[in-house]
Amino acid sequence: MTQTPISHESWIRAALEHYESKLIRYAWGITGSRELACDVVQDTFLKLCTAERAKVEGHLAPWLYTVCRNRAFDVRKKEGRMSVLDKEQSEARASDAPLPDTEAARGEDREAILGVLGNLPEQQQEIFKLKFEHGMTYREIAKVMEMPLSSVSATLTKALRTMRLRLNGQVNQAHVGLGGN
Amino acid sequence: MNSEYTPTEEELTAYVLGECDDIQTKAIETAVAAQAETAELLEAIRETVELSAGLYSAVSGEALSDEQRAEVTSAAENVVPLTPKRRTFTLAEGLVAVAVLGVVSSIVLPQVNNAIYKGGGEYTNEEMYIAQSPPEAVDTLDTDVRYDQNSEALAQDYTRLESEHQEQINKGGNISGRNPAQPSKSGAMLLAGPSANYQAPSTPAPEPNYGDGITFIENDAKSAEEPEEWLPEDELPSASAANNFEDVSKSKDDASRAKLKPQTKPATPAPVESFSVITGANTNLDAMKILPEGADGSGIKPYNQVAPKVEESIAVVVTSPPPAAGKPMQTARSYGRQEQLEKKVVSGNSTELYSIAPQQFVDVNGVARGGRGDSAGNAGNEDGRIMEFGFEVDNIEPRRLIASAPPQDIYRPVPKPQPVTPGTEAYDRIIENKFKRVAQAPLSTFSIDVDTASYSNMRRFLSQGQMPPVDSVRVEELINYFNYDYPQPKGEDPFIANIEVAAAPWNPQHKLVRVGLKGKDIVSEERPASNLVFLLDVSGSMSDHNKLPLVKQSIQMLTKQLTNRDRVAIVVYAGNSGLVLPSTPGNRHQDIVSALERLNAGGSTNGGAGIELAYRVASENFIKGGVNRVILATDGDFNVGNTSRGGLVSQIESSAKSGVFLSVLGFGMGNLKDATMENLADKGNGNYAYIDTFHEAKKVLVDQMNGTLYTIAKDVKIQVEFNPNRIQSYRLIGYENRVLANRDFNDDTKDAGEIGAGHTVTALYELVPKGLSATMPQRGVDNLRYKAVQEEAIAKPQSDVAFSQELMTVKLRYKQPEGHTSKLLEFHVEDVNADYNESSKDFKFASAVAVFGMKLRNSPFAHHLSYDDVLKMAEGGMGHDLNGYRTEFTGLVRKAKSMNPQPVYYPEEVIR
Repeated sequence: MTQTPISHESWIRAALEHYESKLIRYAWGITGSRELACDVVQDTFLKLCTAERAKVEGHLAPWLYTVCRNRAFDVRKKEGRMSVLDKEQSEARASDAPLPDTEAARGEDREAILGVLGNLPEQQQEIFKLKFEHGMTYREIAKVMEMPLSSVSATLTKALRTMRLRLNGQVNQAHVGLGGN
Repeated sequence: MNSEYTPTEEELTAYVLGECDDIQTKAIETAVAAQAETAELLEAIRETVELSAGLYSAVSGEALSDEQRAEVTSAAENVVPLTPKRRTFTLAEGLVAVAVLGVVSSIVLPQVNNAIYKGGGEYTNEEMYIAQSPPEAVDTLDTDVRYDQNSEALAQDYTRLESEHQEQINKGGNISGRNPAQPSKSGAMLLAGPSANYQAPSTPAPEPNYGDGITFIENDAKSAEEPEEWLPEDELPSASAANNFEDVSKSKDDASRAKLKPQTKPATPAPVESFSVITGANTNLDAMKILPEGADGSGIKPYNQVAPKVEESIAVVVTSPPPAAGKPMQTARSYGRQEQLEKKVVSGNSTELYSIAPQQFVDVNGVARGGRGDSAGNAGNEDGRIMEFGFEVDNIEPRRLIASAPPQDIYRPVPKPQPVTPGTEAYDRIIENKFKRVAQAPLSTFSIDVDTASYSNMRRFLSQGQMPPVDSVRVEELINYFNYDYPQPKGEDPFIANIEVAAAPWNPQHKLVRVGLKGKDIVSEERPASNLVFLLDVSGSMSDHNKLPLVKQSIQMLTKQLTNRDRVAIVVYAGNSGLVLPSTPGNRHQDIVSALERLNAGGSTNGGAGIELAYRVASENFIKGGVNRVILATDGDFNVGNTSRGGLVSQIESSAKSGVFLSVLGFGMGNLKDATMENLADKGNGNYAYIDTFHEAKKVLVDQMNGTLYTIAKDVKIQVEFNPNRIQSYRLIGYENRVLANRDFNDDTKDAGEIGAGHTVTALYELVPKGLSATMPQRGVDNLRYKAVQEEAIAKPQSDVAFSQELMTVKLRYKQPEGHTSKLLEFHVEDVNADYNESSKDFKFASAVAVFGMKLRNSPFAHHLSYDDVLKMAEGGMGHDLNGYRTEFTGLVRKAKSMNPQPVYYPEEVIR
């Protein structure tokens, strides 16, 4: 009750301002197309318009990402361009979705790290992005990705380890560790 | 100790990303300070993390196209969800509504208003109490969609609405609504009662809307995008229970509504209540009586009932579960004419309608129980037949709940799942023991339980900032996590009972009996040779840092204490199982360690095959007179081979006959199958501990190694006989899944719990002394209709002993670890009328733990007790606390307290 009430309209507008760009980039990573990503994000916000605000408030970010993610996977499936893939399979495959960021790379590190990131399995990339690009906590990521907290932690560790080793020029030294299924 | 602990890379990563809790952070920092290698790794991780974070510091902004944005913003302007804006009133609706109001109001409104205003502050409280509708009743996320579907129907003429509504009523639809704090101000609210949830069986035809939060309960096929899917189905106590959003947002719910509404209609924030409307002829009243408990038995089913053509009465069943009782509080009342209720509902004047109910509620359950003709429903009852029923309700109940349950508290409890428990952890439902009358059940029999898993699991949840799932809390395991300073057994029996009676801290008129067992301790030098077979789950699910790596550390710790007399073997299982380390003398640490180091996690989990192999290895190396034990370390997720719990259990059960005992060490989280593991340990003559941290591993495997490994007595059963001349009723606290049939006590073929060297086992009984004023409600005990007769029967003198000071007799049965026949021990307990303050420290501490457990379980027995009460009790019982476990406990209580707002307190006499 302490918050000053803002109208539904401005609430949606504020959400749009704040998450539009992030969600497009997120959905882009999944659909592989900016155009589709925009459609997905539009749908997401339309959904938000009709959702019960009381239930979403306080969890806006995970709510948006979850809706957006599911929608994006739906769209991707429908488009049939990656028909072999579904959410489960995606983790096993290296993502060929372009990195949403099209800006010229600044510095070697950046280029190198983007290169390594692009070669990680898609699931790792997604978690990586949710963590670093979208600033989510493990718990939020677990919600959005619908996976156990511990797997989020393990997967992200794996992703960071691969990055670290590859960036240090140890590209070919396959790391033997836990979790090799 | 910390120098032994090397954080894994995953732990370090979590640490860098700020995902560790305080305890872990501290542990990692200590390790980093002490270990150069760890510090180096940490630095490398930090560097990568910084690089990664920097990657996105300056990304280009993306935006929707102008058209897309325009569409969204216009949608935001035009769609105001869950408010009645989009509903337009047709003239017909309006006219009929006004007409109906006219009819109804002349009959009903005076009483209604009376009900609303007369109650004053107390009324609001009642409302709070009523506000606990089961989460499924408030599933409103889909509502907007329904609006779309239904908007046409709304424009149709009233008769259709009425007929459809009729149909729903006939089907026993469930109406739930939010109860406004104030009566509505305008007639325009008629069809737009503030967030009334109308729940009825799905009808393919468009449904009329009676409120702005209308939901159709069974229509829970959710859009794929709805975040309800976040929780896997099997984690929800009920299929349509609250989702994550709801969990966290409950308390905000009303506030947000209040904010939202003024834009459209004058509306008021309101708690929720739910009604079931059931039709039935008066002749069916008996059936109605049963209905709330379980409709199936009665023949009247809330959802399936087909309405007879002519209805003479309607029962309104208010199903508002007490905040935590887990059992709905139900009250049924019949109305003389269906029409009348229906009109109220249809008129949508939910302000009035839903205001009636709480008042009725008070009437039925409160002091004025049975007072007729004083509530709105009665007023309109033309044929004057009014029936009232209360189920599982005692007079005081509503008040107590009011007193202890502020709105925030209301939403935490039982019926909904706890927040984010990622994965698929599985817990068996526990139904709390209730008071039993000594006259009806003079014997109470249960098996001891030395498991402690529930405590460490609870600790894991709390330190992650979550309340543990209710069914994961087993009160007896919480109590038994602690060591109590009971005297060592002398003589030949491997353990003795230590019984203490004092006033119950939560109710001085009740007595609390602590039955403590202390197993004989074994000096390390004297302990028998051990033949240990570690059975390790190395499936993919074990790769987390708090699973296999912790398993390895734990085993290393344990084996360091073994000597050349002992033998260790390691069997692993994943998709296949194999012997990683053949039985090896316990002092060959290097062999053991290097075998452990070779282990990696991966693949599926075929527990069955592994169990077989492990038991075979154990039998091949059986040490007569020694300790022969399989130690299973797993997260319990058996997904290949013999995966049925029943199958695994019977496999273990038959293996246990070979004299090989079992210890189950549960690890990890996310898909912890708590129930399976407890069951395995129970049937495998074993114990079950949950290991969440290095410290816990040390407690179970080093500090209490003797207790974990060396069973000194098996199949230990306790039977208590209460003296009916002293005790009116009793309640066993915890041990819900250990209760045995009375006849099983003397049946040596019935399996029961084991007690290890030095173990203490504690059970608490709450007793109600005989002759305590009948005005004291004994929750969970129905008042006996034929009380006088019964008591007379009891009062017949039996023997002198029956009239002695003896409260009860505690009988114990146990077998020697390799024995087959049991021995009986008997202890008679006399009442010394001790005050709680005079009780021992252990008594105080155990009762504090019990209350904490009850609170975590949302037990109605602990509703009037706060976390502060727990702290006070615990602090009175700290004792020396050499290991710091009790201090840790108080930390957990504070943590739980911080997560749960303090209940409002009413004077004691109100509570009791």
